[in-house]
Amino acid sequence: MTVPERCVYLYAVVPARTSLPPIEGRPDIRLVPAGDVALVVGTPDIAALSRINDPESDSRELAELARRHDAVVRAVMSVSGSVLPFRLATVVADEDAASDFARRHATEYADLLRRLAGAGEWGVRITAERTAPAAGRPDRGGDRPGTAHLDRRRRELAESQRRADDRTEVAARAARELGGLAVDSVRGHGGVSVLVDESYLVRDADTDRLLDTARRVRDRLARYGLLLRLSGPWPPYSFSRLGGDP
Amino acid sequence: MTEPDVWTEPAGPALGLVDLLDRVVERGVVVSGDVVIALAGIDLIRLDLRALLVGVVGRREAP
Repeated sequence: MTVPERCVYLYAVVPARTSLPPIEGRPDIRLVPAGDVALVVGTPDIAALSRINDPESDSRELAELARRHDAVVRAVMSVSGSVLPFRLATVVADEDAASDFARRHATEYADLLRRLAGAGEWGVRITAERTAPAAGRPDRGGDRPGTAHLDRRRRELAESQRRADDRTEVAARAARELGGLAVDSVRGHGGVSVLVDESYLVRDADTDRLLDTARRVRDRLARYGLLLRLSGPWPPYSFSRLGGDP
Repeated sequence: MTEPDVWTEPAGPALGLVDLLDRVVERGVVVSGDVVIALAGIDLIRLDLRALLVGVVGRREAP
């Protein structure tokens, strides 16, 4: 495999005057200056990255790449205070290519870094359990067995719809309450049984309030058979793209 | 990652991985096309990792 020898893997954009101490286990990580910002780069593991393309590839390899990427970003965030994490597997030809790219957007990136300083990303996902708690009611029946069955079935469907509507409303209200503590939010793509999937940007000073609110919300949602899942703090992956980016 | 106590069951590594992959694959800074690098014909920047993501997190759809 022909590999450009000087190619670099991009981890994050940081403010220009960031001082980066050595990262344990990663002697390859270094800064590339780019005007008002700097790039955190490293040596790509070409073999591992190339295997992503392989349909036979073990998904655990992708998971491992993701963890290593996130670990470097977090290590940088702990010393920098503000980072813009790159997407996984961003490899460019050399440090000059990296610097050229960053300089084109340095002012915008510097503005974004200032905006994200002192804030963290939190993920909120609200899902429905497989079966919601149902209020059991004895069947009063109708005149004939057939009617009784239809009556019961109609009631069950109406009740089920009411529960679903309630849960949708309760989940939406919970999201608004949690989102009220955020300075920005990005919607996720959810999934089956996922009623809410959001990433919130929350000021560090509001973190305790976020956790308190989440505990209260979690308990309230549980009465409707809903699960709240809060994850964080994350590096601001969801808030790092510029306006014009895809 | 800190583990706030609002994690709900089932939590653990599998769901944490979903959260991680959602972010590192689909979010984050993207590099514009003209610095795309090809390594032995493999276009890493344009690689659509979404297909792999679906494979990994398919189990997320199960309750």
